[in-house]
Amino acid sequence: MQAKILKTENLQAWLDKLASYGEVYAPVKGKDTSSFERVNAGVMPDFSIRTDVPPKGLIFRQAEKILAYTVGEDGLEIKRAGEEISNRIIFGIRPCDSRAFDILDAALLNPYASEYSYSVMRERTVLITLACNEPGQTCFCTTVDGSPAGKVGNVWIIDLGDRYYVEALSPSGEQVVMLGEGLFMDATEDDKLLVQHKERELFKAVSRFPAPTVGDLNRIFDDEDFWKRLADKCLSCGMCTFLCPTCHCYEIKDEGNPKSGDRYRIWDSCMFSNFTLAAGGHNPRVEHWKRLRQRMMHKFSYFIENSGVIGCVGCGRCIRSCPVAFDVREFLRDAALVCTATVGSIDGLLDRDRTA
Amino acid sequence: MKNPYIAHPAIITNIRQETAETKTYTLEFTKQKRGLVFIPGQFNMISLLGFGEGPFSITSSPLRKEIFEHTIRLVGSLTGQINRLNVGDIVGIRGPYGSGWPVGLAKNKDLLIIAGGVGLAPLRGLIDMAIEQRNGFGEVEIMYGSRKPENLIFTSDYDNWRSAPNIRLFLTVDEVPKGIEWPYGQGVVTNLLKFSKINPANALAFICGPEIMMRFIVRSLLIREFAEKNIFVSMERRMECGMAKCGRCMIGPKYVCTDGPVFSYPEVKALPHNLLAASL
Repeated sequence: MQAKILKTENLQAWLDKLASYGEVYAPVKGKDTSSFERVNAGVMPDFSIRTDVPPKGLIFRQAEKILAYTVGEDGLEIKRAGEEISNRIIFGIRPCDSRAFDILDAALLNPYASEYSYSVMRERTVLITLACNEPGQTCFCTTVDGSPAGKVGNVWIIDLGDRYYVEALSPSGEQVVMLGEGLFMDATEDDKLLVQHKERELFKAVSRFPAPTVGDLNRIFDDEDFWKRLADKCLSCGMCTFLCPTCHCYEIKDEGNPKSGDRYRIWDSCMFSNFTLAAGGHNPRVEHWKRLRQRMMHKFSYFIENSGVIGCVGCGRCIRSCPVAFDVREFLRDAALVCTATVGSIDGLLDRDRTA
Repeated sequence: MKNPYIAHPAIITNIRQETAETKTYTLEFTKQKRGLVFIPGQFNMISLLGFGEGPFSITSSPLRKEIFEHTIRLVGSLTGQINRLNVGDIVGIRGPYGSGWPVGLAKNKDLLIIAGGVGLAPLRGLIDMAIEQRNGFGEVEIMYGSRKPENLIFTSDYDNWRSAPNIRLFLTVDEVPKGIEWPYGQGVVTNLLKFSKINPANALAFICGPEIMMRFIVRSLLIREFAEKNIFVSMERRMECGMAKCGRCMIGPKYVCTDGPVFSYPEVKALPHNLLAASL
């Protein structure tokens, strides 16, 4: 499909038409926090904000009923749970949050088994990604293989001032663009050149810094002093994991009694001390620095080893939300620095290949 | 699409008391007719609906598919509830999960099986398989240790194991209480290795027990010139999903539930944790 142009004044008209496809979610400023909310009459989207809460929970819900059970005359009956899920659109999701779903796919749709509810929700959801014209202070997507203009999701749009440039990236993306037929014009060659220029400029606008390689992190894994220093102020509150668009650790809990009830899959956090506590008392990650190490290693080393992608999109929410100002960027800089100091010269720092 | 969390109802057809706190449960699916197809060393997630779910080794022989067994020690809240179950009660089963012992690799090899405490559980299916298919494997040596004689599991199997050709069983306990007759070894299970007659060049070693025990066993085996690649260990971690998603059982980049629970020693050695580091 040819790239399109949508006049700014027609954005609302397109949004209205999208409602015929399914539920439409968009960034909304709440009283205390901003998040992705269902856009109805009276709920106005605000595309200028980067939401405090990522849209992760719209597809990977915080508490998901995974089965229901009853004990009747025929014995134990275990049933698949879950209501009918309608089509949905997440409109105005930023490239980092959009890319986070690709990372969640790698974790949750792995070859062993697809996470059932996640895969259903993911299939029914269309992501309309809005490029970031103004990066935030805590943004570092370009350091972790992203871009504020990254073309991810099903439709990609960028604000050109008086108009939006709209590009469908998948068949479902084309379908929702078609819903706005009549509102769009074909993009001209000049529009395309302008967009290409903007893509390059936006990429440059987010500062990049050296990050450690998988090899680096494996080398400092046993450097207890490094991790203890890093975790010194960490409270293990888990805020970073709950607001992280790629964190996906969970627990399974039953609600009910032995005769009937439901089983839920519920977000959990590797930062909590009982996360790895086994029956009998064995706990391989009792110390909080080991838990912080696990989180950092999982995102910046294990994820790359297992799936070939970094488990972080550089959205910066963990930095903004941390009550003791732990800054993951400082960790990355320090880790890269420690490694360079031990294995090579400082000059090598600037042209390191993270995936080497 | 299939919902991988669905558990299948299974009825308890027999319960055998192994020790004061450990029982072996015989199970049979009530609806699923296919039985359980598994490799020894794999595990099931057992559900007690309303209480939760946990990973437990399958302890019966894989050659009997229509029934299967789990040997469960009372250690926490879920196992506490399981301990109260009676014959005729129903549990939910999903599985099997995990890697299992490399039985294909073990064909025609001698097997050195070393276990501590309830760590014998995931090895029992393998032992039974080696007895039932006596011509498929070489000699089998089982070296088993526990804290006290009363903590030994599968004691009712020992005569059967001992009477099979070319199978030797060695036992040891840390402590023999006064008044108990104990004709076998005393001390750590590592002490039993001196009785081994099998040639490490044509053998595989299968180990399960506390990590500290496995560390010393691996060290001793390497001294006895077992090749690293011929040593296999079964690890244990808390799990929720069994499908490499929930994140609990990770050791380095590996998931114990899918990459393990049985790992070769070189795999464990490559992990950043130095878990079973066996410096010689």
